[in-house]
Amino acid sequence: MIMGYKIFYIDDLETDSRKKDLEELGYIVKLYDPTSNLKDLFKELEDDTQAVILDYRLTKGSHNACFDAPTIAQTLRTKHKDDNKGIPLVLMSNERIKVSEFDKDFTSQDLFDFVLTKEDFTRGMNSFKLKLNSFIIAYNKIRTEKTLLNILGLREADGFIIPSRFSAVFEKAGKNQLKISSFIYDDLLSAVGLTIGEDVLAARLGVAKDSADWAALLESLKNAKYQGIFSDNKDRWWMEKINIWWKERVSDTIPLRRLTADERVNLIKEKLELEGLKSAIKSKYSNSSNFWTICKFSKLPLDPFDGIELLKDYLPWQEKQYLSIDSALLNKEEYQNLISNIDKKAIRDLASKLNTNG
Amino acid sequence: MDEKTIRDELSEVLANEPNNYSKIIELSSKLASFDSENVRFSVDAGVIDRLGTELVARQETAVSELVKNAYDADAKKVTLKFENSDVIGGTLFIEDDGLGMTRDQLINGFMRISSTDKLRNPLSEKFGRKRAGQKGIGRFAVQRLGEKLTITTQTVNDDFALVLTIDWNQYLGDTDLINITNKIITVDKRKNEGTTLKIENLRDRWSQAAIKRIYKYVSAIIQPFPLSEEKKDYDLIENKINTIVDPGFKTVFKKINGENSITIADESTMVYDYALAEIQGWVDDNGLGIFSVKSKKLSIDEVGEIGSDPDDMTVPFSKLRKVRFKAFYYIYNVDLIPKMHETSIKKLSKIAGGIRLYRNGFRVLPYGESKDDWLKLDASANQRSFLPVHSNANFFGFVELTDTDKVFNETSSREGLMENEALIQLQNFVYRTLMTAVLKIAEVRNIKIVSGQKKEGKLYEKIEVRIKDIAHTLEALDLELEKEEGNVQIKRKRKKTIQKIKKDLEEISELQREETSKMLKEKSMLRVLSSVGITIGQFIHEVRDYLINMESDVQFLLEKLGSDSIFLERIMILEKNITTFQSYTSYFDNVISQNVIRELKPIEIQNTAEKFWNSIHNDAEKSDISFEVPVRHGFYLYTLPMHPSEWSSILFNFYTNAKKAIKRTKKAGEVKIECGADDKYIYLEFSDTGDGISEENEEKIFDEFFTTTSPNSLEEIDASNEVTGTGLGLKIVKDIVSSYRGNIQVVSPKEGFNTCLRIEIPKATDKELDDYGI
Repeated sequence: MIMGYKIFYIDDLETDSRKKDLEELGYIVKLYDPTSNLKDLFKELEDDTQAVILDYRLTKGSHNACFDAPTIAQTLRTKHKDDNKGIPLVLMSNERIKVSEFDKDFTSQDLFDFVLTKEDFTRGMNSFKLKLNSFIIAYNKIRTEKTLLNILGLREADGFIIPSRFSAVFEKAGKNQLKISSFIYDDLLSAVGLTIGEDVLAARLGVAKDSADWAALLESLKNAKYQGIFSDNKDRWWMEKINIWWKERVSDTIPLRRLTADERVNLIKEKLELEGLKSAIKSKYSNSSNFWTICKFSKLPLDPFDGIELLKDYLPWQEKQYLSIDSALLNKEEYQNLISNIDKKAIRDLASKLNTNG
Repeated sequence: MDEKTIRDELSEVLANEPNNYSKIIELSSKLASFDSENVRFSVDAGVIDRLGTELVARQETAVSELVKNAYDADAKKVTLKFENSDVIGGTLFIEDDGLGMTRDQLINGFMRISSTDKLRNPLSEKFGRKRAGQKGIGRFAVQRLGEKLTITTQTVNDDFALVLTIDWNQYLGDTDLINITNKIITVDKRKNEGTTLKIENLRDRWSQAAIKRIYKYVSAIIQPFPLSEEKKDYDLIENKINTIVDPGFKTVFKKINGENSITIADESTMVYDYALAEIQGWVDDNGLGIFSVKSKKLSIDEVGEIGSDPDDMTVPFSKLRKVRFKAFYYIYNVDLIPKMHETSIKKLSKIAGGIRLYRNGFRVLPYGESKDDWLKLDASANQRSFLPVHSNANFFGFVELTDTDKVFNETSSREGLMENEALIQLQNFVYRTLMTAVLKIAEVRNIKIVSGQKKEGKLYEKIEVRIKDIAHTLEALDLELEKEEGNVQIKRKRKKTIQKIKKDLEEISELQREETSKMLKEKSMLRVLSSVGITIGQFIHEVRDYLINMESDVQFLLEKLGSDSIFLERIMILEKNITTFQSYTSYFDNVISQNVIRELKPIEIQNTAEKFWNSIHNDAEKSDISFEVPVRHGFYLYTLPMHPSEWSSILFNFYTNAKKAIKRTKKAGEVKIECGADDKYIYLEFSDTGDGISEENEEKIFDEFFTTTSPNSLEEIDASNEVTGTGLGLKIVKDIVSSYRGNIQVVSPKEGFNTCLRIEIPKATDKELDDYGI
């Protein structure tokens, strides 16, 4: 049996149950109730610790610490900036507001590797374990592997996939494990662009994910699959490799983007003899089935032509994200600030038209 | 064909078929094309289609253009009949009693494109109406509407009628317009005068709603408020003078399906029928003013005198004779006019409101035009010398002068009358008559409002009404004091007025006392509630950590005790309990953290209901209540800016009440939430299968706060009883809803349910949505 990872868990209150939970997951847990002196913390933090989990509020414990999690996290980050000894930091609080403040989906805070509520933890201990382990392994790999291609699980010959601007950012990160891991986890694997996830993959192939032969199709695409760090917890495909697959296996004349879902599926069916594939269906107010992305909210296939663009700062290798019209009509709060005024007006007009025409 | 062949053919036609005009025109225009020294414009027949479809894009506009034509022809009434118009291909008849057209007018007016008649003669022949039609679009409008047009027209002077038939399908492109002929025949007269258009093979379907739409459209663009209903009202006017007063213009819309005829709407019922009062005044041969006020709604029917001297109604006007006026009075926004008509009447009043002036049957401008304030009504209303509304927009009316002796003289610029003593007396007479009537109406209205209000919780309004009443009394008193020396009668009157004020003040102070005591009770109750709220907040905060821990302990036990079925079963129950408890606390947690933010914002009601559902459906399941995701009817269901926690409070109240009501039935139950929007409101309907609400309680459930003998001090309030009682919750819900000018009521239950509560909150306006970036 492999020895479990050693975890340093900083919390000031009522943590016995959670400590037991973490131990149950196979970790060796060291619980720490912080004092006001950070040196105490460094003394307690052993060298072979693989990750730190922090509660947000730390000031109510028996040692009367006078700071909260961000202070500790910042100190740890600064300390390991260049020494190649960085470890993952995880924020686990019972206050959803605090958690979302540090959630990278919505902010640019780059202090914790990932965040979750205690409730999330209790409800999904196993997925927490997969994710944390994935980060620990990634950190270790970043520490030992030297080249970007190795970290991304690519061969020399695949070098053409990586655009120069992407490599440039990587070079700049130096030995800072947090920067490299979050660059890859957030900017490469959590965005649509160089790599895509299963939903976008299905959309681009025009295939409904519940098709009988979907698994067989994925099998045929296995060479395109991403195999770098975090691939143990995230299923991604290199878009460039999908294109090559399409050209070699399906059609070397018409690129995917130009075909409708039906046309794509028919070609795949014909060439790969996968009769069990169904075409993906467009959402209610969409016109085109030349799918290229998915609706951020419903995850259903979408042609950006029909999409409501989400205004974010996209990196050069990332593609824009969209909402489908039917999702935009639902006025979900989390997207409200990401939609342009012109689109808002258009959606509002459509809504009032739909409301009057029943 | 060469030039010579055409010349030959033309001379042959001229010799042998002199009546074949079409051929002659065709040949001569062909011949003209050989003119090597001059060129001419020619018109393609396709121009008709272009003008019809491009100038008049909407079919509503097309019909209203035709109605305008009837108006311009001095019609008193136009009837539009849509026959079998539910499908494409129906027939439309537009029948007016206007002047009709002579053959010449038909040919040089109707059949001549871009004729300048309406430009040269901006006023209509008989009633001097300002012509509404634009430069001859009308006939193309017809082309837009249907494939075939038959015009039947007759004038008073002709003893025959003309029937012109135009088949628009002939007007295809690539034909010269001049070469297309239309049949015209003469038949016996069908009526004295007027024009009937018959449009066959309609190109559109005309549903009842579509017809209503044109009706609205027409009444918005044609402003002729009918000034008098019947000419016989003015029998005082001598016949020798030209007394043609515009009797107004009436439009009637009918829809006919086989035997079935429905009148959609007609103009006169609209404006007249909804007047609050009809005010008339006249000055008799001796110069004495008499007026009458009639109001069916307020049961007023009074006649009085208006003298030249405000103190003595028997002093005659020295310069006024044979003056009559009539005005309809409207008060807006107080539910005195049915909502569906109010908007259009109000709109009409902006352009056509006020009192017009007719001298010897002719309109004298600018009196009664919009912006003109010859009676100083707007000025007086702005000064608030009288509180009851009396701006120009509150009246539709006219003054009729029969001025044979030329007492009134028009200025040389023809803009208004000379400012002489007669005009000043006229203004005085009309203004004072209107004010007397307005005050009378205000008096009656106030008394009525007061006596109609006996319900609880309306004390504020009562006090307000009382104060208004006192203000009116003071005004009346002020008026009397203006008069110089008073005789005994006036003094007695003053005394009476003062006594009335005294009585009113006493009533107010009594009401005030009651109100204050209620306020105090409510205040102390609210204080108790707020401290309860704070305690709950603290509790929720503290309990949260323990709960999460309990949950993980249970998880652990569940895994480890997998084999022992008795324990397992029990722990699973414990787990469920903890989950439910957790969903409760997280809901309250949200509510309380929302309360930290004080900012109001438009609330999307469906998303809010869904959030509520997320946190509560576990609990429902446990209580054997089926609760599906709220149903969305419509999009953008934003209320005006509210506080998010208010909705938490509303929904939670509804839910707990429903739960209790279902429990009383001792059966499994169901609750359902539906959200949607209508014209002005966003609504949420909450249905349950509980034991229902009896009809007599439907009103009461919102008001139970003070029904028990209410304690007078904080100490006496038994908080636990009041807080858990159902009435209190709904009272708070109602307070929230009414503070946003919303409505809450028990409505008839939906199929399969026993109770349905409906909340309506005004929609967020576009501006609010803009402001909040939604």
